[in-house]
Amino acid sequence: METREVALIGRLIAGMTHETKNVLAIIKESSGLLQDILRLKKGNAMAHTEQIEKAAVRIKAQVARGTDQLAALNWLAHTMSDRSSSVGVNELSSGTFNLMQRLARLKQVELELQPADRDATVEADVVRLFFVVATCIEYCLDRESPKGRVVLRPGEAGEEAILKIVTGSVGEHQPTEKIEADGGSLPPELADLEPILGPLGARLLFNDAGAGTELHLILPSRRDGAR
Amino acid sequence: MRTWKVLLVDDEEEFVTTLAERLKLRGIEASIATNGKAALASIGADPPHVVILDVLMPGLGGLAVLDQIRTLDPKIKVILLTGRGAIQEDDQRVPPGAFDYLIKPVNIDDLIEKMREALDAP
Repeated sequence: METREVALIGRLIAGMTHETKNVLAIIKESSGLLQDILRLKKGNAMAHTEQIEKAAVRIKAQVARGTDQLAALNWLAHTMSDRSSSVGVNELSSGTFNLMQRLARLKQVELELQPADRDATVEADVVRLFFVVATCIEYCLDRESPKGRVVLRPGEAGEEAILKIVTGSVGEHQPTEKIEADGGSLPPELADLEPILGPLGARLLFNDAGAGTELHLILPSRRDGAR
Repeated sequence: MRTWKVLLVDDEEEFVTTLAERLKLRGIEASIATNGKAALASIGADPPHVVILDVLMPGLGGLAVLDQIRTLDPKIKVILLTGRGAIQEDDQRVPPGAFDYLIKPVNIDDLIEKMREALDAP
């Protein structure tokens, strides 16, 4: 998609997430007001106090859930509208991780994120990076059995940033150098990422010779501080 | 405890009305404005101790209102309300002239605590 189109869609989604967040804020405050009134009425006979209190707690929990989901969508929307050109590998991983939870749940696979202690800033088009990471995660989700696990491990590899995406059956992952040396080509489902990886300055290494599937996405990086 | 006078400014009328009601139940004198112009008029007529100010509003935006409050009465403490993205969270810089900011949706206890901090600040 063209830059202007992506930016416009990003602005529209950001606007909608903002509006929906306002809706949730009103629901949250209204439920809080109900609880305030119940507490004031304590001691006075009032029917169904306990049920109303429980309903208010449920409303708050669902508002919190909706707010988290909107925050994930908002991250993508701002990435699109700003056409960001740099992102921390932890942020890229967690942003994509949050957005793919629903897909993982539908496939009954647990998606797990193990953030790096030190973040590394990746210098590349973040929308395209997101597309690559999401495609890799979906590929692994499709290969994992129900009740299995897909793990995201962002980190550093020498001067570069790396995101390892492995299926749960892969215990100790392969050293990146070994996968690179083995030189396995990408499966057809991932091969169409190659024209995108080049301009991003990224490389994608693939291994499924062992206990499961392992993808190492190596990204151009600038060293930053602690996470 | 002294009475706090708070002005809540947000274009979402239902939001500020409900929040004001909750603050009143806690003994805080809360009034509302649903746009920047009305907020400045209210401040001119009856200056509050604290203004809770939404950043993204149609017309006169929160940051423009903040600038004018600074001119009207620099002693008024302003706490900004924002969604993620309007102020970069990882940036963590409070816009000049504001005491602090909170991310929506806010927890009422956090809001009151922030107001207390603002009022205790020099």
